[in-house]
Amino acid sequence: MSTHFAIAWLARFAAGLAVGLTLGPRPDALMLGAALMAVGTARSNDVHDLTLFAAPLYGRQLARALAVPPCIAAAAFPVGTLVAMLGRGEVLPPAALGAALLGAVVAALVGLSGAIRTTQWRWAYDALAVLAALLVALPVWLGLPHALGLSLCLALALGFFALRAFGETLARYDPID
Amino acid sequence: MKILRVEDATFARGGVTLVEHFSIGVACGERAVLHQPTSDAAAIAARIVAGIVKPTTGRVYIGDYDARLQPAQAKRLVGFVPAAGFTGSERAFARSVAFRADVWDIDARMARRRADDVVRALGGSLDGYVWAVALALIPTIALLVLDRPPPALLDAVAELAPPAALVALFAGERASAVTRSAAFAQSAG
Repeated sequence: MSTHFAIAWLARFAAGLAVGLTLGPRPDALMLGAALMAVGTARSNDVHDLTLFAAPLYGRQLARALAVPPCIAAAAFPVGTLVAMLGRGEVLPPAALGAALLGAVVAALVGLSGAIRTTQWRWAYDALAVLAALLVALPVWLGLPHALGLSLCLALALGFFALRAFGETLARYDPID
Repeated sequence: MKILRVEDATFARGGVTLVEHFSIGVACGERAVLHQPTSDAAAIAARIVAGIVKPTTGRVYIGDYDARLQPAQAKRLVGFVPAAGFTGSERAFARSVAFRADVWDIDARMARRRADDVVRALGGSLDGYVWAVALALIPTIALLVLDRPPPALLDAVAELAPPAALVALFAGERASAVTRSAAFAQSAG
């Protein structure tokens, strides 16, 4: 898993770097890219690993453990864009970077529940993850007052519910495949 | 006292019954072999016995715990060895040893030593099944569940976990038959 995870992280970082180098400081591209690139990060987890399900852990504990790698993977795209901006000597609006990061993390958390579901439900969770990320980034996108604070509140609420839902899903899940 | 009680368990998915009614009760130190008609049924039944999969009907008690209502407490008493054994690299094995030590609150070095001892006792083989047994026996468990183990390993594994109850699942003709024997490998065949 670690090699697979490293490759997935580097691919997202490279995508962020490429977008940053080609488009320059574009907050909209950053936030949209972060939302889209966060999709599928949950699949870097081996959620069918029996080692986890055989361990004396509750669903919520498993959920927290499984949430860490996707969140780190989701941060790769915004970090790549930030590095590109530093390379070009240009400034990326901090609020846009913050909103993109928060959106990416929320998308990764929402996408977690899709990782143990079959095709059509997995697609539905991917779509929901992108929508959640865009919703988190929306206050910054619209330039609302206290936009980053609003984004943070939205991210905390959505992230909390997404992680809780994943914990409930894992508690009911029967790993028979 | 029975450490494992499976009462009339079945497992169904999408209206299809994958595991037919089965019951089993095993006390500490006892060994049992449970046959299921197919490999899939054996794999699911093994996970039901280990408290990993919840039966569609029936109940599973491990120690004093209902595996559906108190899964974490029940699983703390169980070592589970999947049919595929441990499929990772040596580094992944070391990580798994550390993970088990952490979850079961065991000193990491002691856990590593215990795992190495089990591997050595089973012939020092780098076989994935041996590694999986070593992982399962790191904590002090009351029940060891073996999913389709190599029959040649059975008696050796039973000797390594004498106080624990031992249940081995097999796929074969004798559907749902439970046999108990000190000569474990014989009854498995």
